[in-house]
Amino acid sequence: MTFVALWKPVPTGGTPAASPDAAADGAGLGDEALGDALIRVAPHVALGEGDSAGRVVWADARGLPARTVASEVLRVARELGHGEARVGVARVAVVAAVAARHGSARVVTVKRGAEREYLAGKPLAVLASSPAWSIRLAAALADVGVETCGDLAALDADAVEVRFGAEGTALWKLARGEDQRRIFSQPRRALPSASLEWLEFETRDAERLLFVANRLIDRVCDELRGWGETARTMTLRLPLAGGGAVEKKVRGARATADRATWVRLLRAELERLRLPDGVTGIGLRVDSVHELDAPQGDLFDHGFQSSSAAEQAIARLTDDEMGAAVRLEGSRHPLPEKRLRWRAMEFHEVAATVRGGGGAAAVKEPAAVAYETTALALRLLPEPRRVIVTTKRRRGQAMPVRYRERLVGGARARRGLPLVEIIAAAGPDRVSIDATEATPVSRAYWTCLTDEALVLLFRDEGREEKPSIEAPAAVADADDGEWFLHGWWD
Amino acid sequence: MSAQLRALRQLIAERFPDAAPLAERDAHRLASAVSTGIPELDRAFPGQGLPRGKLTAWAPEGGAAAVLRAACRAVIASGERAAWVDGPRTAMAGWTGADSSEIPWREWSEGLPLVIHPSDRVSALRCAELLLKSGAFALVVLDVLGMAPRAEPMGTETVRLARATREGGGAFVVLTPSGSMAALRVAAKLDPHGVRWRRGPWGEPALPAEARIEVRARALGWNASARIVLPVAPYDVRCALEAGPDRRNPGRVP
Repeated sequence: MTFVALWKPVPTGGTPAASPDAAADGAGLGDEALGDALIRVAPHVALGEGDSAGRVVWADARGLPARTVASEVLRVARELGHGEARVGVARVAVVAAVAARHGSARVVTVKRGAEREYLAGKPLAVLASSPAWSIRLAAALADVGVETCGDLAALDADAVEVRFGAEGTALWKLARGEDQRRIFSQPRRALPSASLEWLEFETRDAERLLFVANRLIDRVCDELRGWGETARTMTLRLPLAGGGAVEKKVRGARATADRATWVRLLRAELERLRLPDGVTGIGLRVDSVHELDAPQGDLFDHGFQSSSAAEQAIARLTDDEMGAAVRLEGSRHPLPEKRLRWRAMEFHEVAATVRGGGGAAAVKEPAAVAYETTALALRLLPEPRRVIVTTKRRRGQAMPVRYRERLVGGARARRGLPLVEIIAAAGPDRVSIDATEATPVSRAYWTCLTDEALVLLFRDEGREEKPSIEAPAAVADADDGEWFLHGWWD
Repeated sequence: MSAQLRALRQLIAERFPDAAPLAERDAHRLASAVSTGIPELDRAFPGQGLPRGKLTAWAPEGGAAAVLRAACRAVIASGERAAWVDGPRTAMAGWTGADSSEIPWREWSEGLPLVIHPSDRVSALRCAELLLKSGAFALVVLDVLGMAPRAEPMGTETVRLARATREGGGAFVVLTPSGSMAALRVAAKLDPHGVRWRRGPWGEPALPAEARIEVRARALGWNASARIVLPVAPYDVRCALEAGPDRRNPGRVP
């Protein structure tokens, strides 16, 4: 950034004023007129520090020819009656100010990299207008023989900090030509908002409110699009007839400037809302804005063409709480139901998945992919289902030979319901956990083949076992512990 | 502008003689059915795959999920998208791979369809409708069996879903024993006599190794069947030792 500092000394009695504004100099009116004139020369103008001798006015020459801007600034100042004005140009603000105020010519330009050198020969008093300057500090520095900026800059940072504290360090930095001040602060832009109030009637009807909100959404979304931005959260404000207002935050699954999406979200919010009083107005305010997400596309990616439609569909089902996109997480947990978990995806993950789904690089031979990974896999019931199992003894183990599902509440299924015959059973595979679970788990798993499917049964050995009629190599039609159907292969 | 465009097209055609314009390639792709990724099975379907823009009713009697998972993976491998509306939330281990030793402790995302967990039965149907209508998914699988006693889409619900399928142009498979309004009805059944077991030391069945699935496809003027053999993925982590070097005894000679 290149700073152009205009030093505007207070006119002496003998200097004529060229304009009425110049006559009012020092009272603010002259500064305003100068600022108005300078803004035509530079994109940013700011009033700087001033004292009884005069004032510094800053002009931003970033990206512009600095010399031209400087001469234009000087010309404008002279036209407005500031005949004694001088200009300093430098990459560092404090150097530009010193060059303007204490420079030998009308326009003094300090080259890049020569800022420290330029200040070195100047007395410390040239920094008097900076915020770090104080009479006490100047006296303390003078006591140890520091008289010029070069003397101060030559000192060690630690030594300056120990002896002169934070103020001394700040002045030391300025003397070295280091100035981190933000001369041209960017004013915060007001975020898009729209509101409408009425006095003739009050309403609680969601449809009527939505009718009004529709126009407001139009304006807000147009403004967002105009700035190339999107919003994820808006605040809906409803002033009430009896005083006060209801405020609700409306949040979408993804940041968007799409009018239809916001209308849908507002409709849902208004339909849910229970208003304590009639509404006499409606206001809509964007809480925060995001940059419009415009991903780089791949010319040969045919999935890219429809990625926005996919994102829109997922966002809608998330907004309407119809469902959630999930991702699988795995662990080494010995219990099958805890080994794998579904985790709801954040929308940026969904977007990445949707955008990365296609792609020329990902295209493979479908048959090869399918054969690599196709297998019958276990589908676990969300909760293991209690079943009544008939077992027989095999090598001292209770092997299931048929099972029947129980009804809710532990009641047995009525007689006549078909039993499921087990053709073959493999097991038991024992899983015992003592330390990691709140309650110890001990299960004996059996993989069973029935007429229709491969199913996974287990006997919970941690539970009290009921007495059963058991005979070696004979079928026992009785309970043999608590049996559960855990899932099936599909 | 059009002259420049023609010149550009000509230049691309000269530089990349094998490249086909995206529109032509997409038109060719969209005209074909969605492959299941299993050639034997594709041959049993009219159009060599699951029809686009039409409803397929799949009666799940064993092996349906495995075949549809394969279809999803094949769709993704071909550069398109697939979505699975998993109502009962029972489909998990099938997405991790065929071999249990591959079950790692990480997240799966590559090669998986977008899995949606609906909040209830109606939401599941609406999710499917929305995904189908978007036109961004080449294959949408709706699995609602087990959410409620009669959870599968019925009557007007099926009409709406069929209409959304036609609008979106993707293939839609609903797992249901009822085949009303379906352009293609498929029944997959596990053949209990086709299960091959790995035997234990005493000759008894120890672990199912593979299973034979009988698939029958019926459409207007079409009745075909296929038999495919699929491996059975074990449910547990059978290896007691962690993957990696054996740290029980650094000086131990294997």
